[in-house]
Amino acid sequence: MASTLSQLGRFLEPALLILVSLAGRPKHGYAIMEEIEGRWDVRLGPGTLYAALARLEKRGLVEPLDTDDRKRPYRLTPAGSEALATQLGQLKEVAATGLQRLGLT
Amino acid sequence: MRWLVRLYPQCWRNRYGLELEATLEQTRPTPRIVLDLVAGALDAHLHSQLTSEGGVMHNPFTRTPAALPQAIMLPGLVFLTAVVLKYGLGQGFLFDPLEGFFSNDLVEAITVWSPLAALLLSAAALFEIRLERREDAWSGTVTVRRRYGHIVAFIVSAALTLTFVGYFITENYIYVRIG
Repeated sequence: MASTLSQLGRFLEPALLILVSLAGRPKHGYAIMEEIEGRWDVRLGPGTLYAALARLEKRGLVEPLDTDDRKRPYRLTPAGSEALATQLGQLKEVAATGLQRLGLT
Repeated sequence: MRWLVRLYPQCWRNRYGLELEATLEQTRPTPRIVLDLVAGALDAHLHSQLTSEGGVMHNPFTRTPAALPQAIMLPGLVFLTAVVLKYGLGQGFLFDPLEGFFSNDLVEAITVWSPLAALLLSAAALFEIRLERREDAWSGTVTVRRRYGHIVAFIVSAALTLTFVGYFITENYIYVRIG
């Protein structure tokens, strides 16, 4: 499942942040951008956000919720949760190795 | 910033256009945001399979009217015609083309580059390019369209461009070596 996100190339990082943001609860585009900037100080532009969202939706990792509002919320699908868990597990391993080599653990 | 959404392909706008507009209404416009949207639009054109089955990227220049490259190459054509008349045939009744066209940097640049611009535009209109991307594989076809106005513009602007390039090489390399 790790390859699902790895295939996103340069959109891997924005996609990962979007998935983490949606892991809490469904959110619309602007709310995702706000959380990412507020929590991790990463300014995701709207062009990048929707390019990444379109890729995630195409791969069935997120899905839009029905709404009459123009601000359409998205939520994580079970496949999205699984892909996110796999990716975060890998990152945890990388982080653990890095911290160990720096003598910080 | 809503006009920037129009840079995206129609199929993309049908799917995400309203959401993106709603997001932009809450976003402070900055040069970085504008650049991000332009890059996003380009990405959407290149990966239109994200919002349609079997994405196809069409050549946006195929609808360009033939009058456009013809008009663009006019400064170069008038200049070369005047040069041939004055220095080739000794008919200087028009005006001195070198004085008229090379007295101002902007006019000179337009004169020199207009044939190349017309050549590229007419070539882009003549050749219909279809690029398709399914999964990770690209495929494409190039079709030459039978548009006589563009064919005329292509041939004349190619001749003008070659003449200018030939003159430039002769002036800057061949005469220099002889001298």
